[in-house]
Amino acid sequence: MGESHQPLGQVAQNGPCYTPVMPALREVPDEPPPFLGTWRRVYAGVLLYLAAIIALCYLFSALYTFPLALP
Amino acid sequence: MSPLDWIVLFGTLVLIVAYGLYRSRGSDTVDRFLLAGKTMPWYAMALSIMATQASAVTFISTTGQSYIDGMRFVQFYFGLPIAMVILCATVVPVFHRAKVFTAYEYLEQRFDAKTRALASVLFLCSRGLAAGLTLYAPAIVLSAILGWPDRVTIALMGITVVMYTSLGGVKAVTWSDVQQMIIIFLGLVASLVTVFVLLPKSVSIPDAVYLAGAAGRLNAVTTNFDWNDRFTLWSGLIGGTFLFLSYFGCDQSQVQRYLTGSSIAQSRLSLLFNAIAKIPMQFFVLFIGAMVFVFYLFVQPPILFEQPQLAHIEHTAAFSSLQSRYEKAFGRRKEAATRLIAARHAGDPVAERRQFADYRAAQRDLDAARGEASRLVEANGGERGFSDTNYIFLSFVTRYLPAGLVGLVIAVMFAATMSASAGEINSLATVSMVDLYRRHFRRNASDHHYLMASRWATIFWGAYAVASAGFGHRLGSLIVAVNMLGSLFYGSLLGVFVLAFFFRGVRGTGAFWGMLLGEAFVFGAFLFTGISFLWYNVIGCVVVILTALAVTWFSSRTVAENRLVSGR
Repeated sequence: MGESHQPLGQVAQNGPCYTPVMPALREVPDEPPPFLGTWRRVYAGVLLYLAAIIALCYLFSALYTFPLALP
Repeated sequence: MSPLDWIVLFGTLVLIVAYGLYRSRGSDTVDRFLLAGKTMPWYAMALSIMATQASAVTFISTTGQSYIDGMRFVQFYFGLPIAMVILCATVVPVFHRAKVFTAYEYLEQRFDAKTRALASVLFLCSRGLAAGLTLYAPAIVLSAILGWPDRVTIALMGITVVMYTSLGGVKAVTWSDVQQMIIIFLGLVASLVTVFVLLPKSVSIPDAVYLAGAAGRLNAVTTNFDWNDRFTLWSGLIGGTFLFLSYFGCDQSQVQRYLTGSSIAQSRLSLLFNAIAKIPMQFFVLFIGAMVFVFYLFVQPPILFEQPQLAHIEHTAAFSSLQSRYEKAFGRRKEAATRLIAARHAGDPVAERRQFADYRAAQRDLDAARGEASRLVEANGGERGFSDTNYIFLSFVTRYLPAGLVGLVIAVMFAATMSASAGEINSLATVSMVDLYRRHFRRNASDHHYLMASRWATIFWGAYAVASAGFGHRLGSLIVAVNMLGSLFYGSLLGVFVLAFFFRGVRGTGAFWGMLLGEAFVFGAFLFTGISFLWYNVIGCVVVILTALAVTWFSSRTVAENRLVSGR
């Protein structure tokens, strides 16, 4: 770790430049999420949560903002 | 503040900073100093991301915003979960696999050095200015409490933050953020409970919520579409998504947080935690502001919350009649509020409507008197566009919270700001060192040299933040100012990253000119139109993409024609 003068990663056309070594990054595998099985399901869950939050905020506004609160 | 408050304040601050520095020991190489050796767990990154974004502005300005304008500001965060999902699916794995220290380093891999340099400079401009505002927020706390000039308190905070950041690096920042978020949560709950306890015995919690709603302070969702309205459902969903895509995908102060993760999954979880937790948290903070408004229905607030400015106009001839009008309007509003609750309890809709009309009319008179007082401040040598929004919550805390709790809430503000500023300054130093100094000025020095360069860059950006914080009082509501400054640059940054990820045919020259033209359009919209700042991100991003595509098309056409000519 912290070894100097060791190039790492792809460099564009202007030639190599110094990049210190980052540990444990030789391979960066993807891992499944700890719940819901796949990341797609997790993302879908987050978006459903957003829809629920907006609906709740809307109901909150409608319930407490005059004159909607009046019959 | 009482002696107990001072003990709680300094005890909390020392504990947070000491714990952060303790956890950061061993940050003696560049990768450990800038990326914590990629060892951070998701929950630490998640709380650090939240803390960096929150800062003291969350307490000071958001509560004042809902006191004045209601809870519409929560819509600003509706785009956040969408942005987080997009980033987790696209940007996070790419940055991890590209093995970069900064987001802009990836732009050189994808485009060229000039595009990376321009993106870095745009980031330094936007985040440098925002870092100043983050320092300014707690400085006004100290000024209000101790009676010190803003500049002295700004300098004191800046020096502390720079020492802390330059010693501990990103690891110290992250672990202190974790402590800070726990204290912020405690402070929020304690503040709300205290407001409820301080309400008159005849006013229950449902009554308080009802009165806040009747005054328009609980209007969390606005569905009408208006380009000039800052906070609507649509500006939040569309503009907010673009802003947060830019903020979390292109702003190194956030990217650096999740680059410290030990895996892609850990980084994703940290972002998704924010997607879930941020909106309820902002809702809660805004709700506290609305409840402070209800508290002041029964206890007369000062006509202006910023005491030094109030003292400045108290001697003027116009003030006494203005104060008298204000006191009468307050008395009418208090009576109308009391009668409105009574009518509600009696189940009399006709009386309820009548009292509601009186209540709203008294509120309008009160607002008019406050508006005139603000203009009086301006007329007597005060700042143009004077606003005391940022003093509302502070005024409440220092006057009405019990001993010990005042110290805790003030400590929360300090800790929040120190961590947020530290994160910003740390990222500014990273970009300056990695993307500019190491790339363009000194390529093959030792690790120790770059570590020291990072520390010096930290000191430089700390000094810059202190200098720019001196202009914070000119920018009205701090929370809006911070996001507006970011929006001036984020659209172009987002545009170039969208090009990098989704438009494989675009090359460096197209991306570079696209960014320049995108910035020109955004500044044009800022200077010459009244378009809400949330739309700047959309405008900037779209202009960058269209320009880059046009340049690419013309370039490919020219190359094809040249080939045709040489073929002849």
